[in-house]
Amino acid sequence: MLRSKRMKRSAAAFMALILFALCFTVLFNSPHFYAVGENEKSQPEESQTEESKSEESQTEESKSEESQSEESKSEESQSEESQTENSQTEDKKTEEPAEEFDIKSKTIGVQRGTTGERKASVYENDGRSDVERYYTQQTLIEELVNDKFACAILDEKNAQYFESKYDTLKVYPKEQSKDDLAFAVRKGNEELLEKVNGAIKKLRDNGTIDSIVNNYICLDSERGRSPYKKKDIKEREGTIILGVIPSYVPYEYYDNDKLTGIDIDVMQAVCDLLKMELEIVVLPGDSLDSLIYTVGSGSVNMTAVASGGFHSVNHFLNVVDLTDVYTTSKQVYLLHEKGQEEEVIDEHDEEENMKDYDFAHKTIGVQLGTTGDILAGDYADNDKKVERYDKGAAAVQSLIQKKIDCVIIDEQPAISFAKKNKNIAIYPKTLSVEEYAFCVSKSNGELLNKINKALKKLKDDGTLKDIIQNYIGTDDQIGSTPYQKKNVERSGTLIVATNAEFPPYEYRGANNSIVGIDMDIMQAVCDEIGMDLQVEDMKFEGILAAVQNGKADVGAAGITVTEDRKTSVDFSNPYTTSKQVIMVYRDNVVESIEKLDGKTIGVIAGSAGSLAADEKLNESGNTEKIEFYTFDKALKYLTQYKIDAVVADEVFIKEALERTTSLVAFDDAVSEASYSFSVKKGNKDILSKVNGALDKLKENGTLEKILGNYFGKVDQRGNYSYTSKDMKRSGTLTVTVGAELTPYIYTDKNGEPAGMDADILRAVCDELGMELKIEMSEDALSDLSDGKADIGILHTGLTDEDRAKLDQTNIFHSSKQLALAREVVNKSFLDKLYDNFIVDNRWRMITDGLLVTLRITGFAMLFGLLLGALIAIVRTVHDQNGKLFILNFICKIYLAIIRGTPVMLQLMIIYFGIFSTTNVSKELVAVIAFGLNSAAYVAEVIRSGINAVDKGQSEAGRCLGLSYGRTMKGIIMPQAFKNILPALLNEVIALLKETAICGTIGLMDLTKGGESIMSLTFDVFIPLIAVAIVYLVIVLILTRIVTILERRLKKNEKQ
Amino acid sequence: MKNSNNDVTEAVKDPETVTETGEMTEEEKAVNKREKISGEKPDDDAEVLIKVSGLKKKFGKHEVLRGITTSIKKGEVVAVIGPSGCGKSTFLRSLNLLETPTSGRILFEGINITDKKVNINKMREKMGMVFQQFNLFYNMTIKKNIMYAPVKLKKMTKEQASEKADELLKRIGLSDKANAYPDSLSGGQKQRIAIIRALAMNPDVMLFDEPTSALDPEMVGEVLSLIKDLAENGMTMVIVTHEMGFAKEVADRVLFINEGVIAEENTPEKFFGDPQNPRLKDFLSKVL
Repeated sequence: MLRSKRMKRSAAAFMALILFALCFTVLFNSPHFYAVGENEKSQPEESQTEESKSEESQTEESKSEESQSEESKSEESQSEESQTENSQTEDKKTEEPAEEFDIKSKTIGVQRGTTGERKASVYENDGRSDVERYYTQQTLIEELVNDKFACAILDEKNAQYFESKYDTLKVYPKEQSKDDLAFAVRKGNEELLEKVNGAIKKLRDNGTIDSIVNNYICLDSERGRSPYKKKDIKEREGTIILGVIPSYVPYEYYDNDKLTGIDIDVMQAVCDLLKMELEIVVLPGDSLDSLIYTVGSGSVNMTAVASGGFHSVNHFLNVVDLTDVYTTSKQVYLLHEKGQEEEVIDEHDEEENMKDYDFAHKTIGVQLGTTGDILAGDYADNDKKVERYDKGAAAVQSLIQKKIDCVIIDEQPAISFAKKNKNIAIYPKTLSVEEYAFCVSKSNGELLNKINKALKKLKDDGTLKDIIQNYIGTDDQIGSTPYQKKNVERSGTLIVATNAEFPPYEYRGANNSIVGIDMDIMQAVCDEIGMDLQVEDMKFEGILAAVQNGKADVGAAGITVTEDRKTSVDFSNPYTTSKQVIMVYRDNVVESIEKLDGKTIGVIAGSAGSLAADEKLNESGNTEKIEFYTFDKALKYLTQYKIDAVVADEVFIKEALERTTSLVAFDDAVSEASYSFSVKKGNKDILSKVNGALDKLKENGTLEKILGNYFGKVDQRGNYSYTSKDMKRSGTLTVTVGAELTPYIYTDKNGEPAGMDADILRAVCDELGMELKIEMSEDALSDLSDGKADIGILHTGLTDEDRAKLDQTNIFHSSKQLALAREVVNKSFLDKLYDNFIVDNRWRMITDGLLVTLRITGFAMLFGLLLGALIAIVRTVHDQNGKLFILNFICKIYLAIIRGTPVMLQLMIIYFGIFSTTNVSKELVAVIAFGLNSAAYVAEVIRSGINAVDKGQSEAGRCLGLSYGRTMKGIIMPQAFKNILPALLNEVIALLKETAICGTIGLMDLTKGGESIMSLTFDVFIPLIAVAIVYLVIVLILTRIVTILERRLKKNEKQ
Repeated sequence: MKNSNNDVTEAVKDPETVTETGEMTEEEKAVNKREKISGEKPDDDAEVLIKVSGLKKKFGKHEVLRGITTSIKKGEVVAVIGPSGCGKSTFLRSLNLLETPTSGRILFEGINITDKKVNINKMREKMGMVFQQFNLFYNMTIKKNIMYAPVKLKKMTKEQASEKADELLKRIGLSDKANAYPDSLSGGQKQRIAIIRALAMNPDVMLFDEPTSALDPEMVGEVLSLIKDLAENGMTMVIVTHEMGFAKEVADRVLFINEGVIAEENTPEKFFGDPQNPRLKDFLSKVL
């Protein structure tokens, strides 16, 4: 037994590259060795030198076949070592049943310079896994929590600590490796071996070794707190020479040029105990062989080694002996357990059977920079074009106009768009499921931790779920659990960047405030961490940059976690999942049952409705039938505009109507059916027996209960299941089933026949005292006529001819299949106006935006006028008397740049570039940007105005002794301004309209106000027209003012 | 007018002219010498208000003034006549440095105003100028036109200036136009306002640049009579004009400038009665 343990250590220990052995010798030239302990992962070797293989090792063989190859170089350890085995090893046997953690193609995280890294490197080198290396434990753990990699390998003790600290972290039950550490002594030096063994035992007993180990293997923060101190012993006899290769943290390594480590300290303690000197010799190279043989040869007093697993190598143990194990190093896997979203898994099942959207030769529309954009890129090839739009609404508009074939977009907005436009719908199969998370700057790990902790708490206490359901739950959930800001003590402000055009995650709600799921969650997070929340609205593309350069602390905008984005920011734990769906051009209006032909129809798999859909609703052959496992799922897809109707039993339909508003069922049944069992024509015996039993069941209410279990009221349904009576039976009632039909007769999970028919037949058999045998059949009809079966369940596929061959029992159930569709709502223009402007005081987005626009225009004009006048004067002075050469030159460059580049770029450069790191109000940035731009044009206008003033005016002034400046100011400029007033006004008008691009930096100006309404109501036309009218009115007013002003100034002159 | 404006600009810009001003030509040195000599006899120059010597002006390559030397005594009225393009306007405009001379010097009240160190604005305060095109300030009322310079240059307080303006307006009988804007005035009225605007500064000399050329014939009289009035009150004046009769009547001396030089210079009687220069004879025969 013990021998087999010894064997097991070999291979994995090798491949894990850990090795250390410390060898030492004593002065009298007797080299001894230390050897590394055992490894649970180790395999039996291909080496057949081993005379015996234990059962245990064989059981493990299969698990680690892949690791064998690289172990080929290593050899099985000798059995002589077995005596060095200690009891610890035995204890561990209980853990063995645990499965080996499958590391294949996973990413492993490790801390640099640890045993874990060495272990992981092996997997990396053989290409099985990727390895991420971190400098500190803290970042390692943080990234593990962030799912940067699948598992971390670290020392068991540390892993347990983190497991207790983070709820989502779990130590994998089976350890990754276990290494017993010992020293190697030259073979034959029994005296030293005994001495050292004795010392090790003492040190272990008195806890010295534990404290030495604890000083090294612990949290980063605690390392080195209680170092072993060499005892002050005056008389030391003899010297132990310890050879080491100092490249193995934490056993022997250089810490700031000082050789240190567990092995060194332990050996120091041993020497202190033995009253011997310790001499440490650093050996060159890193080969295990050289170490062992240095010890073995005795050519040096001693040798030290670093090479894990050498113990297992045969020929090493011919030259060295191992001391007792003084400590055991256990490496374990630390895993991050993700809370799986049940719903997602659930829906995946449903959608597995659906057809993928065929992207061939399609033009895909996306919003620039969104996940849809990225996905479209994946799907696009030479045949397919991707059209990128500034806004989702623009892409959808193109789809409505059939300019593109489909739009990849987030599910929620897709549903909203479909609601507003009858020509578009959502392709039933989800394109991808993604996770939303908040992002923070890479340099702000502390904040990330806080947010993650807060999110976890919110998740645990249900707040997160409440918030999300409040926006995207069922009809009765929406609005029922609004998040209430808590009254907590706060210090500091958390600046959250968002793009409030993405309902329901963030949008402009009542009174133009930014609301939505993300905002509520951020408020809840702020309540948790005790900070004030400040929301900054900006373009989606700008959010990551804002977080990166510190303009905002957190980005919260339904941001999908992607690898690309991870390179620039850190993401919190995901707080919800969302879907990317494909919007297609499809008339989503169903006004009558006839219109269902050619539509996308949802049915319950294998149900009468499914049958009806095939038979009655697909004359054109274009009808798309989607099968769901449950009615509720079908209903959900219907309300999400993924399917256009659901065909199901009237019971379900009527109930759905009660539960859900905005749905409508058509009075005409898609199909009507009565359900009875079939018997062979003329088989009166069975027929009367069964009918009699059915009558009885009807009388005693059993039938009703069974029916109620499938088609009753909600509270009845599923509550009853018929259980066969325990009774004596004689004879068998054989039932043949033509086709499964949910919920009448189908095979359940266990392969047993189930459903209403099965229940009824069980009850019938109980009445008749017969055994029941239900068999699925290829040809139930002939089974019946051949007499192979007594009763047939033939609900479907019967022709009249077939029916003539059969007799039917009493009808026990009849049902209608109805079609359920969305209610068609035709909104009047007034309703639309109401939606766009009155609901939630949306008009305020226009008025608030107008104020912003006017403020920016006004101040920018003022700034532009002052700067422009200054430039004009410099230029004029230069023109007239050749002075101010340098200033003039600067002005000319300025004019060239400003007039030669688009104002939008100037605005973006100023905001994202020049003011990127300072927190300047966006309005001020806009004023500066537009002022600078305007100044360039104003300057030229003024200059031309000055030039247009008669030269005689200036001469007359100068002749009176007035200085140039005085003449300019008092005589020329006033006249010039009058001349250029119309031109200046045109500049104001142009400026006013130019400010419409303020939205680029997230300012809520007039245009952005219109866009915000658009993004809320998904109405493209009305808000934009409204905004256009407002601009027009302002411009008309301005024009009027100038006309009046001009006239008045003219009057002044002509008085 | 426009042309001359442009010329001025060009002249200012032309680097050649600038350098030329800096260097002293042979002629100038000669003039300097003479001054030094005349300096020894101060009595001779006691009544000289403006002394022009070796004045040259080039517009680009075209030399408009080719060396003019003359002096104007206090109280003297000098009329300058000559064919168009002869340089008479340039000569006049050079006197208060509206045109920067290419070379030569101008002494005003004993100060060399061509010297760059001299504050020309201060000099101009004492040299009123009246333009052919009136050049009233169109953005100001008549009274403001008159008051603006004296007040801004701190020659008078607002009240004093207002009083002075009223007095001057009364003198020319345009008191009712005090608050009107220039555009509402007739040419003759504008020119008279222009004259009293210059007078408001109490100048030592008045320079008239064809003051009646832009006027309707019926308005010429009122302007000339005002100028005559000034002459009778002993104002020193240099008048560039085409009104030969007026020159004869008002001037103490008449200069005939031809091709950039003073071709003849005499009392009106001799000038008009017995012209010597053949070009002058020809000129007079055409205009009289």
